[in-house]
Amino acid sequence: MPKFTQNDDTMVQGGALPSSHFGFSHTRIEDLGATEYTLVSLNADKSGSTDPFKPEMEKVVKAVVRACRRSPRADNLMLRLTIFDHQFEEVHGFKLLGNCNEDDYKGIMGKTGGTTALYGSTLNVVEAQNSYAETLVGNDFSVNGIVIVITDGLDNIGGATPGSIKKALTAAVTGEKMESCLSILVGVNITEPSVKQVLEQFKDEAGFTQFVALADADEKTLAKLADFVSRSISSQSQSLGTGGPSQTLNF
Amino acid sequence: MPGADTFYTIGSSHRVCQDYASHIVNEDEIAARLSDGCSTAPETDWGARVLVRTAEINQDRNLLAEALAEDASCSCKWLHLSDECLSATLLEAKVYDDRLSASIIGDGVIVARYRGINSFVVSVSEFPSGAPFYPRYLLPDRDESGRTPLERYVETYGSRWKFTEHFWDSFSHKLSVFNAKNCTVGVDFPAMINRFPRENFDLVAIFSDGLHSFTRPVVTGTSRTREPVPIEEVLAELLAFKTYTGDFIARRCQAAFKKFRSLGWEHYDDFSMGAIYAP
Repeated sequence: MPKFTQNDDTMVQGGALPSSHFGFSHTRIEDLGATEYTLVSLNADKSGSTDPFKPEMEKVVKAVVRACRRSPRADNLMLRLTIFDHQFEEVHGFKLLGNCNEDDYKGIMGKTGGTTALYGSTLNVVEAQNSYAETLVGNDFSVNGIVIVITDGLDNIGGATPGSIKKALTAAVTGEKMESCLSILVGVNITEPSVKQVLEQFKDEAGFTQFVALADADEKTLAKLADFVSRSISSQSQSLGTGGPSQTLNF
Repeated sequence: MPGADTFYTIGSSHRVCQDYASHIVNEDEIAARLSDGCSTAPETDWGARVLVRTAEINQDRNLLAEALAEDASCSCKWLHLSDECLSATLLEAKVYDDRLSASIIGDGVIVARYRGINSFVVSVSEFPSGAPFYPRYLLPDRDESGRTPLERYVETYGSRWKFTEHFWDSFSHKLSVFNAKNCTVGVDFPAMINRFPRENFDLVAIFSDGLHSFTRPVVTGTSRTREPVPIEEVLAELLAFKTYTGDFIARRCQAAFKKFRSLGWEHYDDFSMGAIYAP
């Protein structure tokens, strides 16, 4: 099970997920007062190869939280932050932005190391979002979602497949779950053309809406990434109620 | 924790929404108010807002309806609006320590839910003349012949109005009348007030008469018409609350209206709803 390192007494455990061994946590339905929410799932790679730019990755997370807290839609955003290497960890479940403090994210990337459970963690992220969205919709809330997966490499764990992720992403927007769901795969420090090619293939096979490949992971690029992620979240949240997803933004 | 919330939306036959609703939840007051502007009088969308706002800012003074109408009339003068814009109803629901209270000037519906069971008292205020009594008729100004607006209203439309109380539970579907009052304008006005003890009731909702304006399609092999939807069918959806935090009326109404649209239901009149909840 993941470690619920930053949950508090406003959070409860969600139900079982169809394919994932890991669970998820979320804000209690009874504590939610708005009419609509955008669920934001941010899943960040902390495998061994990300060690050189670990501080910058932490800055990305903090910048995204800061931007979301300042957004006019802050009261309608809930963020779930997960990190993965060969293991998967839920830093916190779907949490209202008002309860997310920037200082709490210091050191969240922890000790980097291990291999890359890209598919398994992504599947958990999408299924958890679907599950919570379904619960929210059943309680009269309007919901859409955005999934952002940040990785610097390829899956080398197995288990889940791009096909199973596609199935979950498709389920997100069919039936009575979400009004729309935007999914963005971000490859950072992608210097090898072969890695880029495989991630592009993963984007297509899993059905991500957008793939952004970054050739490096320096401070400037990752600052730009934080801005891009924040704008994408804001744009998706503003589209809630229109019946469709937001336009994808250029990096 | 007690709460209040409101919702309003334009009807399919209207170009401007003349319903307005607002709520207050703070240490001093927990209340929901709404107003339904008359569609044949000028600028009643403004009048509806002025009336609700006037009631809100005077909540601690417990103004009589006549004084409230006069205060609203003063605001209208500042806004260069004629008193005619106050041709609008005013409904209020408020939480007190020992009771939930609802009042109504004009037409509309008050629904109170029994604590712990899905049963309701549904009170309907209606005017057989088709001309509801509005706060503007309580203004003291006299015309050239020396008559007050109240006297002119009674001369033109008569003094009769009906306040009918029904018992309803969502299983039996049908409303059953248990008290029908034939009231007289000028005697039973300025406001009809219902009090619901908190030990017996946990929720009071107020509605504009847009609640009566829902229709649904009836399609046969040779015709396509619409028929009215009984209010108990509309209420069954609007009162099916899941949670009571924050914008609980807006959430329920948005979900209910989504279902109404899928069923082909429409409401030609503006619709507004407010509620107070005291667990």
